[in-house]
Amino acid sequence: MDLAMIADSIIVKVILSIAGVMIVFTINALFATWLERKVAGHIQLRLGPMEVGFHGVLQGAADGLKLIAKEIITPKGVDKKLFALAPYLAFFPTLLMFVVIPFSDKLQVRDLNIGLLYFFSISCIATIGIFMAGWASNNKYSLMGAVRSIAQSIAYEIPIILSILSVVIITQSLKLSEIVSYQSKFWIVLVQPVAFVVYVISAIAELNRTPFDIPEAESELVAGFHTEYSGMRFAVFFMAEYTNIFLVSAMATTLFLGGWRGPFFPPVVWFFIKTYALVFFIIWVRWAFPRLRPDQLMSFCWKFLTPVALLNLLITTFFMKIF
Amino acid sequence: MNASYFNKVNIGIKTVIKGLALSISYLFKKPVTLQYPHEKKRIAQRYRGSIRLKRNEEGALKCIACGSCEKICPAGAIKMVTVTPEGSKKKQLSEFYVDLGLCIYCGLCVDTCPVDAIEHSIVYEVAERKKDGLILRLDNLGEKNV
Repeated sequence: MDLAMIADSIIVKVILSIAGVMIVFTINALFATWLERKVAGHIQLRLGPMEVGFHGVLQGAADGLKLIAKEIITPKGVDKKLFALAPYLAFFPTLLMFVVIPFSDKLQVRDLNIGLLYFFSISCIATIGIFMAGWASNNKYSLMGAVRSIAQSIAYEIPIILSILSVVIITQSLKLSEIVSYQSKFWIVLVQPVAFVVYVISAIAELNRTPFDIPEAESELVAGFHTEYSGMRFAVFFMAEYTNIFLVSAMATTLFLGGWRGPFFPPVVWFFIKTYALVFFIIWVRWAFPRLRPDQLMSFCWKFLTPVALLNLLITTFFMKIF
Repeated sequence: MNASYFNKVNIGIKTVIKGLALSISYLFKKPVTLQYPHEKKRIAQRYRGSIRLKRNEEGALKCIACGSCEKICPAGAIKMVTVTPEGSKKKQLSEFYVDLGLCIYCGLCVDTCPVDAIEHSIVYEVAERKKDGLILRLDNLGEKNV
Protein backbone atom coordinates (compact mmCIF):
# COMPACT_ATOMS: atom_id res chain seq x y z
CA MET A 1 0.00 0.00 0.00
CA ASP A 2 1.56 3.32 -0.93
CA LEU A 3 1.44 6.46 1.17
CA ALA A 4 -1.39 8.19 -0.66
CA MET A 5 -3.67 5.23 -0.17
CA ILE A 6 -2.83 5.06 3.53
CA ALA A 7 -3.55 8.74 3.95
CA ASP A 8 -6.81 8.29 2.08
CA SER A 9 -8.10 5.35 4.04
CA ILE A 10 -10.98 6.07 6.32
CA ILE A 11 -9.39 4.64 9.47
CA VAL A 12 -6.33 6.87 9.17
CA LYS A 13 -8.60 9.86 8.63
CA VAL A 14 -10.63 9.03 11.71
CA ILE A 15 -7.53 8.56 13.87
CA LEU A 16 -5.96 11.77 12.60
CA SER A 17 -9.20 13.67 13.20
CA ILE A 18 -9.53 12.37 16.74
CA ALA A 19 -5.89 13.23 17.44
CA GLY A 20 -6.33 16.72 15.99
CA VAL A 21 -9.49 17.38 17.97
CA MET A 22 -7.87 16.15 21.17
CA ILE A 23 -4.86 18.41 20.62
CA VAL A 24 -7.00 21.49 20.01
CA PHE A 25 -9.18 20.57 22.98
CA THR A 26 -6.26 20.09 25.38
CA ILE A 27 -4.37 23.19 24.35
CA ASN A 28 -7.53 25.25 24.50
CA ALA A 29 -8.42 23.97 27.97
CA LEU A 30 -4.96 24.91 29.24
CA PHE A 31 -4.78 28.23 27.42
CA ALA A 32 -8.33 29.38 28.15
CA THR A 33 -8.03 28.74 31.88
CA TRP A 34 -4.73 30.61 31.93
CA LEU A 35 -6.23 33.49 29.92
CA GLU A 36 -9.24 33.62 32.21
CA ARG A 37 -7.12 33.85 35.34
CA LYS A 38 -4.75 36.38 33.79
CA VAL A 39 -7.51 38.66 32.52
CA ALA A 40 -9.39 38.31 35.80
CA GLY A 41 -6.26 39.21 37.70
CA HIS A 42 -5.35 42.23 35.65
CA ILE A 43 -8.88 43.62 35.58
CA GLN A 44 -8.79 43.47 39.38
CA LEU A 45 -5.29 45.03 39.44
CA ARG A 46 -3.74 41.71 40.43
CA LEU A 47 -1.23 39.67 38.45
CA GLY A 48 -2.89 36.27 38.25
CA PRO A 49 -0.74 33.12 38.22
CA MET A 50 2.96 33.97 38.07
CA GLU A 51 4.86 31.04 39.55
CA VAL A 52 4.56 27.99 37.26
CA GLY A 53 6.35 28.73 34.00
CA PHE A 54 6.69 32.12 32.32
CA HIS A 55 3.93 34.31 33.80
CA GLY A 56 2.19 31.16 34.96
CA VAL A 57 1.50 29.60 31.54
CA LEU A 58 1.93 26.11 32.96
CA GLN A 59 -0.46 26.74 35.85
CA GLY A 60 -3.24 24.87 34.04
CA ALA A 61 -1.02 21.81 33.58
CA ALA A 62 -0.04 21.89 37.24
CA ASP A 63 -3.68 22.16 38.31
CA GLY A 64 -4.65 19.33 35.97
CA LEU A 65 -1.92 17.12 37.40
CA LYS A 66 -3.14 17.84 40.91
CA LEU A 67 -6.74 16.98 39.97
CA ILE A 68 -5.70 13.72 38.28
CA ALA A 69 -3.78 12.73 41.41
CA LYS A 70 -6.80 13.33 43.65
CA GLU A 71 -8.94 10.50 44.93
CA ILE A 72 -12.29 10.09 43.16
CA ILE A 73 -14.84 10.54 45.91
CA THR A 74 -18.41 9.26 45.55
CA PRO A 75 -20.47 10.78 48.35
CA LYS A 76 -22.95 8.76 50.40
CA GLY A 77 -26.50 8.69 49.07
CA VAL A 78 -25.77 9.56 45.45
CA ASP A 79 -27.06 7.58 42.49
CA LYS A 80 -23.69 5.99 41.77
CA LYS A 81 -24.15 5.12 38.10
CA LEU A 82 -25.65 8.45 37.08
CA PHE A 83 -23.16 10.31 39.25
CA ALA A 84 -20.24 8.67 37.46
CA LEU A 85 -21.79 9.02 34.01
CA ALA A 86 -22.87 12.66 34.19
CA PRO A 87 -19.49 14.39 33.72
CA TYR A 88 -18.79 12.41 30.58
CA LEU A 89 -22.23 13.06 29.18
CA ALA A 90 -21.61 16.76 29.68
CA PHE A 91 -18.16 16.47 28.17
CA PHE A 92 -18.42 14.23 25.08
CA PRO A 93 -20.83 16.47 23.13
CA THR A 94 -18.14 19.15 23.23
CA LEU A 95 -15.76 16.79 21.43
CA LEU A 96 -18.46 15.88 18.91
CA MET A 97 -19.14 19.54 18.22
CA PHE A 98 -15.58 19.92 16.93
CA VAL A 99 -16.51 17.73 13.98
CA VAL A 100 -18.12 20.47 11.89
CA ILE A 101 -15.91 23.43 12.85
CA PRO A 102 -14.04 24.68 9.75
CA PHE A 103 -10.59 25.59 11.07
CA SER A 104 -9.46 26.41 7.55
CA ASP A 105 -10.54 25.68 3.97
CA LYS A 106 -9.23 22.12 4.21
CA LEU A 107 -9.00 21.56 7.95
CA GLN A 108 -12.44 20.30 8.85
CA VAL A 109 -13.28 16.85 10.14
CA ARG A 110 -16.56 16.46 8.25
CA ASP A 111 -18.24 19.11 6.13
CA LEU A 112 -21.80 18.02 6.83
CA ASN A 113 -24.44 19.78 4.76
CA ILE A 114 -26.50 20.22 7.94
CA GLY A 115 -23.43 21.30 9.91
CA LEU A 116 -25.13 24.16 11.71
CA LEU A 117 -28.10 22.05 12.77
CA TYR A 118 -25.75 19.28 13.89
CA PHE A 119 -23.71 21.69 16.00
CA PHE A 120 -26.66 23.10 17.90
CA SER A 121 -28.42 19.76 18.35
CA ILE A 122 -25.31 18.14 19.82
CA SER A 123 -24.78 21.10 22.12
CA CYS A 124 -28.17 20.35 23.73
CA ILE A 125 -27.03 16.91 24.91
CA ALA A 126 -24.64 18.50 27.39
CA THR A 127 -27.64 19.90 29.25
CA ILE A 128 -28.76 16.33 29.99
CA GLY A 129 -25.37 15.67 31.57
CA ILE A 130 -25.75 18.76 33.73
CA PHE A 131 -29.22 17.76 34.86
CA MET A 132 -28.04 14.21 35.50
CA ALA A 133 -25.26 15.55 37.70
CA GLY A 134 -27.67 17.70 39.67
CA TRP A 135 -30.21 14.92 40.09
CA ALA A 136 -27.74 12.14 40.96
CA SER A 137 -25.89 14.24 43.53
CA ASN A 138 -28.81 13.99 46.00
CA ASN A 139 -28.06 17.53 47.10
CA LYS A 140 -30.46 20.45 47.11
CA TYR A 141 -27.91 22.91 45.78
CA SER A 142 -26.96 20.63 42.92
CA LEU A 143 -30.59 20.01 42.00
CA MET A 144 -31.44 23.70 42.18
CA GLY A 145 -28.46 24.51 39.96
CA ALA A 146 -29.43 21.84 37.48
CA VAL A 147 -33.05 23.03 37.33
CA ARG A 148 -31.94 26.59 36.75
CA SER A 149 -29.51 25.42 34.10
CA ILE A 150 -32.27 23.64 32.19
CA ALA A 151 -34.62 26.60 32.41
CA GLN A 152 -31.90 28.92 31.18
CA SER A 153 -30.80 26.63 28.37
CA ILE A 154 -34.33 26.25 27.03
CA ALA A 155 -34.96 29.99 27.23
CA TYR A 156 -31.76 31.08 25.54
CA GLU A 157 -31.82 28.40 22.88
CA ILE A 158 -34.59 30.35 21.18
CA PRO A 159 -32.83 33.68 20.56
CA ILE A 160 -29.67 31.78 19.57
CA ILE A 161 -31.50 29.76 16.93
CA LEU A 162 -33.41 32.82 15.72
CA SER A 163 -30.21 34.81 15.35
CA ILE A 164 -28.42 32.09 13.39
CA LEU A 165 -31.53 31.62 11.26
CA SER A 166 -31.05 35.14 9.90
CA VAL A 167 -27.55 34.11 8.85
CA VAL A 168 -28.91 30.95 7.25
CA ILE A 169 -31.51 32.96 5.34
CA ILE A 170 -28.80 35.25 3.94
CA THR A 171 -26.38 32.48 3.01
CA GLN A 172 -29.08 29.98 1.97
CA SER A 173 -27.09 27.14 3.51
CA LEU A 174 -26.61 25.12 6.67
CA LYS A 175 -23.23 23.93 5.44
CA LEU A 176 -20.53 25.75 7.36
CA SER A 177 -17.99 25.77 4.53
CA GLU A 178 -20.57 27.47 2.30
CA ILE A 179 -21.35 30.03 4.98
CA VAL A 180 -17.64 30.86 5.16
CA SER A 181 -17.25 31.04 1.39
CA TYR A 182 -20.26 33.38 1.24
CA GLN A 183 -18.23 35.78 3.39
CA SER A 184 -15.40 36.12 0.85
CA LYS A 185 -16.32 39.79 0.16
CA PHE A 186 -17.76 40.96 3.49
CA TRP A 187 -18.35 39.59 6.95
CA ILE A 188 -21.93 38.75 7.85
CA VAL A 189 -21.59 40.78 11.05
CA LEU A 190 -21.68 43.91 8.85
CA VAL A 191 -25.17 43.11 7.57
CA GLN A 192 -26.37 41.30 10.69
CA PRO A 193 -24.99 43.25 13.69
CA VAL A 194 -28.15 42.68 15.72
CA ALA A 195 -28.05 38.93 15.16
CA PHE A 196 -24.39 38.92 16.21
CA VAL A 197 -25.09 40.78 19.45
CA VAL A 198 -28.07 38.54 20.23
CA TYR A 199 -25.95 35.48 19.47
CA VAL A 200 -23.10 36.54 21.76
CA ILE A 201 -25.41 37.43 24.65
CA SER A 202 -27.36 34.19 24.35
CA ALA A 203 -24.15 32.22 23.98
CA ILE A 204 -22.82 33.64 27.26
CA ALA A 205 -26.12 32.61 28.85
CA GLU A 206 -25.89 29.14 27.30
CA LEU A 207 -22.40 28.78 28.74
CA ASN A 208 -23.75 29.52 32.23
CA ARG A 209 -21.22 32.28 32.65
CA THR A 210 -21.46 35.54 34.54
CA PRO A 211 -23.65 37.63 34.32
CA PHE A 212 -25.89 34.65 33.54
CA ASP A 213 -24.26 32.17 35.92
CA ILE A 214 -27.28 31.55 38.15
CA PRO A 215 -26.93 27.74 37.77
CA GLU A 216 -23.64 27.84 39.63
CA ALA A 217 -24.10 30.99 41.66
CA GLU A 218 -21.45 30.52 44.34
CA SER A 219 -23.06 32.75 46.92
CA GLU A 220 -26.38 30.93 46.89
CA LEU A 221 -25.79 27.44 45.43
CA VAL A 222 -22.20 26.65 46.51
CA ALA A 223 -21.23 25.52 42.98
CA GLY A 224 -24.52 24.46 41.45
CA PHE A 225 -24.65 21.11 39.72
CA HIS A 226 -21.01 20.20 40.39
CA THR A 227 -21.08 20.88 44.13
CA GLU A 228 -20.53 17.19 44.98
CA TYR A 229 -17.87 16.55 42.35
CA SER A 230 -14.16 16.53 43.05
CA GLY A 231 -10.93 15.44 41.44
CA MET A 232 -10.97 14.37 37.82
CA ARG A 233 -14.76 14.33 37.55
CA PHE A 234 -14.84 17.99 38.46
CA ALA A 235 -12.00 18.61 36.02
CA VAL A 236 -14.07 17.02 33.26
CA PHE A 237 -16.92 19.46 33.92
CA PHE A 238 -14.44 22.27 34.03
CA MET A 239 -12.81 21.31 30.73
CA ALA A 240 -16.24 20.95 29.13
CA GLU A 241 -17.02 24.50 30.21
CA TYR A 242 -13.88 25.95 28.69
CA THR A 243 -14.23 23.88 25.53
CA ASN A 244 -17.75 25.20 25.19
CA ILE A 245 -16.48 28.76 25.38
CA PHE A 246 -14.09 27.96 22.57
CA LEU A 247 -16.75 26.23 20.48
CA VAL A 248 -19.29 29.00 20.86
CA SER A 249 -16.65 31.54 19.85
CA ALA A 250 -15.54 29.35 16.96
CA MET A 251 -19.13 29.16 15.75
CA ALA A 252 -19.55 32.93 16.05
CA THR A 253 -16.34 33.35 14.07
CA THR A 254 -17.61 31.04 11.35
CA LEU A 255 -21.07 32.54 11.14
CA PHE A 256 -20.40 36.24 11.59
CA LEU A 257 -16.69 37.07 11.37
CA GLY A 258 -15.74 35.46 8.09
CA GLY A 259 -14.42 32.19 9.51
CA TRP A 260 -10.85 31.45 8.51
CA ARG A 261 -10.70 34.24 5.94
CA GLY A 262 -8.12 36.99 6.33
CA PRO A 263 -5.04 38.48 4.69
CA PHE A 264 -1.30 37.70 5.25
CA PHE A 265 -1.58 34.89 7.80
CA PRO A 266 -2.58 31.32 6.98
CA PRO A 267 -6.30 30.57 7.43
CA VAL A 268 -5.84 28.56 10.65
CA VAL A 269 -4.07 31.47 12.31
CA TRP A 270 -6.87 33.85 11.37
CA PHE A 271 -9.42 31.41 12.70
CA PHE A 272 -7.72 31.18 16.07
CA ILE A 273 -7.12 34.95 16.28
CA LYS A 274 -10.80 35.67 15.76
CA THR A 275 -11.94 32.87 18.05
CA TYR A 276 -9.68 33.88 20.90
CA ALA A 277 -10.67 37.52 20.49
CA LEU A 278 -14.22 36.38 21.21
CA VAL A 279 -13.06 34.12 24.05
CA PHE A 280 -11.33 37.17 25.51
CA PHE A 281 -14.54 39.16 25.16
CA ILE A 282 -16.54 36.49 27.00
CA ILE A 283 -13.97 36.48 29.82
CA TRP A 284 -13.97 40.27 29.89
CA VAL A 285 -17.77 40.31 30.28
CA ARG A 286 -17.50 37.93 33.21
CA TRP A 287 -15.33 40.34 35.18
CA ALA A 288 -17.35 43.42 34.25
CA PHE A 289 -20.86 42.57 35.41
CA PRO A 290 -22.59 41.21 38.50
CA ARG A 291 -24.92 38.21 38.39
CA LEU A 292 -28.56 38.62 37.39
CA ARG A 293 -31.49 37.35 39.43
CA PRO A 294 -33.29 34.35 37.87
CA ASP A 295 -36.41 36.42 37.14
CA GLN A 296 -34.34 39.19 35.54
CA LEU A 297 -32.58 36.56 33.48
CA MET A 298 -35.83 35.12 32.21
CA SER A 299 -37.50 38.45 31.53
CA PHE A 300 -34.40 39.65 29.70
CA CYS A 301 -34.61 36.63 27.43
CA TRP A 302 -38.35 36.56 26.81
CA LYS A 303 -39.09 40.28 26.84
CA PHE A 304 -36.03 41.58 25.06
CA LEU A 305 -33.75 39.11 23.30
CA THR A 306 -36.40 36.91 21.72
CA PRO A 307 -38.49 39.80 20.30
CA VAL A 308 -35.37 41.51 18.99
CA ALA A 309 -34.13 38.31 17.36
CA LEU A 310 -37.56 37.66 15.89
CA LEU A 311 -37.85 41.20 14.55
CA ASN A 312 -34.37 40.93 13.08
CA LEU A 313 -35.33 37.66 11.40
CA LEU A 314 -38.48 39.24 9.94
CA ILE A 315 -36.59 42.23 8.56
CA THR A 316 -33.91 39.95 7.11
CA THR A 317 -36.52 37.81 5.41
CA PHE A 318 -38.25 40.88 4.06
CA PHE A 319 -35.07 42.29 2.54
CA MET A 320 -34.02 38.93 1.14
CA LYS A 321 -37.39 38.66 -0.58
CA ILE A 322 -37.14 42.13 -2.10
CA PHE A 323 -33.51 42.02 -3.28
CA MET B 1 -44.29 48.10 24.68
CA ASN B 2 -44.39 51.60 26.08
CA ALA B 3 -41.90 54.40 26.54
CA SER B 4 -40.57 53.08 29.81
CA TYR B 5 -39.68 49.76 28.13
CA PHE B 6 -37.48 51.48 25.54
CA ASN B 7 -36.13 53.78 28.20
CA LYS B 8 -35.04 50.76 30.23
CA VAL B 9 -33.44 49.19 27.17
CA ASN B 10 -31.60 52.43 26.49
CA ILE B 11 -30.30 52.65 30.07
CA GLY B 12 -29.34 48.98 29.94
CA ILE B 13 -27.24 49.37 26.79
CA LYS B 14 -25.52 52.45 28.19
CA THR B 15 -24.69 50.67 31.45
CA VAL B 16 -23.31 47.64 29.65
CA ILE B 17 -20.97 49.77 27.55
CA LYS B 18 -19.91 51.78 30.61
CA GLY B 19 -19.16 48.64 32.59
CA LEU B 20 -17.15 47.09 29.79
CA ALA B 21 -15.16 50.28 29.28
CA LEU B 22 -14.38 50.59 32.98
CA SER B 23 -13.19 47.00 33.37
CA ILE B 24 -11.03 47.11 30.22
CA SER B 25 -9.42 50.33 31.46
CA TYR B 26 -8.34 48.46 34.61
CA LEU B 27 -6.79 45.74 32.44
CA PHE B 28 -4.10 48.17 31.32
CA LYS B 29 -3.38 49.73 34.70
CA LYS B 30 -0.35 48.68 36.68
CA PRO B 31 -1.16 45.81 39.07
CA VAL B 32 -0.73 46.56 42.75
CA THR B 33 0.36 43.03 43.66
CA LEU B 34 3.68 42.67 45.45
CA GLN B 35 5.33 39.39 44.42
CA TYR B 36 6.32 38.83 48.04
CA PRO B 37 9.06 36.21 48.20
CA HIS B 38 10.68 37.67 45.08
CA GLU B 39 10.33 41.34 45.88
CA LYS B 40 10.22 42.73 49.38
CA LYS B 41 8.34 45.66 50.71
CA ARG B 42 10.39 48.70 51.75
CA ILE B 43 10.14 49.06 55.50
CA ALA B 44 10.06 52.39 57.32
CA GLN B 45 13.18 53.07 59.37
CA ARG B 46 11.18 53.38 62.58
CA TYR B 47 9.52 49.99 62.07
CA ARG B 48 9.58 47.91 65.25
CA GLY B 49 11.20 44.70 64.03
CA SER B 50 13.11 42.18 66.10
CA ILE B 51 15.43 43.37 68.87
CA ARG B 52 19.17 43.75 68.52
CA LEU B 53 22.02 45.09 70.64
CA LYS B 54 24.04 48.05 69.48
CA ARG B 55 27.82 48.18 69.38
CA ASN B 56 30.13 51.16 69.83
CA GLU B 57 32.90 52.29 67.48
CA GLU B 58 35.36 49.72 68.82
CA GLY B 59 32.90 46.95 68.17
CA ALA B 60 32.15 46.24 71.80
CA LEU B 61 28.59 45.98 73.06
CA LYS B 62 27.27 49.22 74.48
CA CYS B 63 25.23 47.28 77.03
CA ILE B 64 26.14 47.93 80.67
CA ALA B 65 24.16 44.92 81.90
CA CYS B 66 21.91 47.01 84.14
CA GLY B 67 18.92 44.72 83.53
CA SER B 68 16.38 47.50 82.94
CA CYS B 69 15.11 45.93 79.76
CA GLU B 70 14.70 42.57 81.43
CA LYS B 71 12.69 44.17 84.23
CA ILE B 72 10.45 46.31 82.06
CA CYS B 73 9.66 43.67 79.42
CA PRO B 74 5.89 43.05 79.86
CA ALA B 75 6.06 39.69 78.08
CA GLY B 76 9.15 38.44 79.87
CA ALA B 77 10.87 37.88 76.57
CA ILE B 78 14.31 39.12 77.63
CA LYS B 79 16.61 37.07 79.86
CA MET B 80 20.02 38.31 80.88
CA VAL B 81 22.94 36.61 82.64
CA THR B 82 25.65 38.83 84.04
CA VAL B 83 29.07 38.22 85.49
CA THR B 84 31.29 40.48 87.56
CA PRO B 85 34.93 39.87 86.71
CA GLU B 86 37.38 39.72 89.63
CA GLY B 87 38.94 43.00 90.54
CA SER B 88 36.23 44.92 88.72
CA LYS B 89 33.11 46.54 90.06
CA LYS B 90 31.29 46.67 86.73
CA LYS B 91 28.95 43.90 85.73
CA GLN B 92 29.37 42.41 82.28
CA LEU B 93 26.94 40.72 79.98
CA SER B 94 27.65 37.03 79.53
CA GLU B 95 24.33 35.76 78.12
CA PHE B 96 21.43 37.62 76.54
CA TYR B 97 18.26 35.94 75.25
CA VAL B 98 15.33 37.44 73.39
CA ASP B 99 12.48 34.99 72.86
CA LEU B 100 10.69 36.25 69.73
CA GLY B 101 7.84 33.87 70.48
CA LEU B 102 7.10 35.96 73.56
CA CYS B 103 8.18 39.39 72.34
CA ILE B 104 5.26 41.72 71.61
CA TYR B 105 7.42 44.31 69.83
CA CYS B 106 6.25 47.04 72.20
CA GLY B 107 9.54 48.88 72.29
CA LEU B 108 9.64 49.45 76.06
CA CYS B 109 13.14 47.93 76.31
CA VAL B 110 14.40 50.36 73.70
CA ASP B 111 12.80 53.33 75.49
CA THR B 112 14.07 52.37 78.90
CA CYS B 113 17.71 51.61 78.06
CA PRO B 114 19.87 54.24 79.84
CA VAL B 115 22.78 53.96 77.41
CA ASP B 116 20.86 53.46 74.17
CA ALA B 117 22.35 49.99 73.71
CA ILE B 118 19.29 48.17 72.39
CA GLU B 119 17.22 48.93 69.32
CA HIS B 120 14.63 47.61 66.89
CA SER B 121 15.84 46.33 63.56
CA ILE B 122 13.60 46.44 60.48
CA VAL B 123 13.60 42.64 60.17
CA TYR B 124 10.07 41.28 59.93
CA GLU B 125 10.67 37.79 58.54
CA VAL B 126 11.09 36.05 61.88
CA ALA B 127 9.24 32.79 61.16
CA GLU B 128 11.15 29.66 62.12
CA ARG B 129 10.73 25.92 61.63
CA LYS B 130 11.69 25.11 65.22
CA LYS B 131 10.70 26.85 68.42
CA ASP B 132 14.36 27.01 69.37
CA GLY B 133 15.09 29.21 66.38
CA LEU B 134 12.89 31.94 67.81
CA ILE B 135 15.28 32.53 70.68
CA LEU B 136 17.92 35.12 69.82
CA ARG B 137 21.24 34.76 71.67
CA LEU B 138 24.26 36.96 71.95
CA ASP B 139 26.02 35.13 69.13
CA ASN B 140 23.18 35.42 66.62
CA LEU B 141 21.65 38.65 67.85
CA GLY B 142 23.75 40.69 65.48
CA GLU B 143 23.91 38.36 62.50
CA LYS B 144 20.27 37.38 62.18
CA ASN B 145 19.02 40.91 62.47
CA VAL B 146 20.58 42.47 59.43
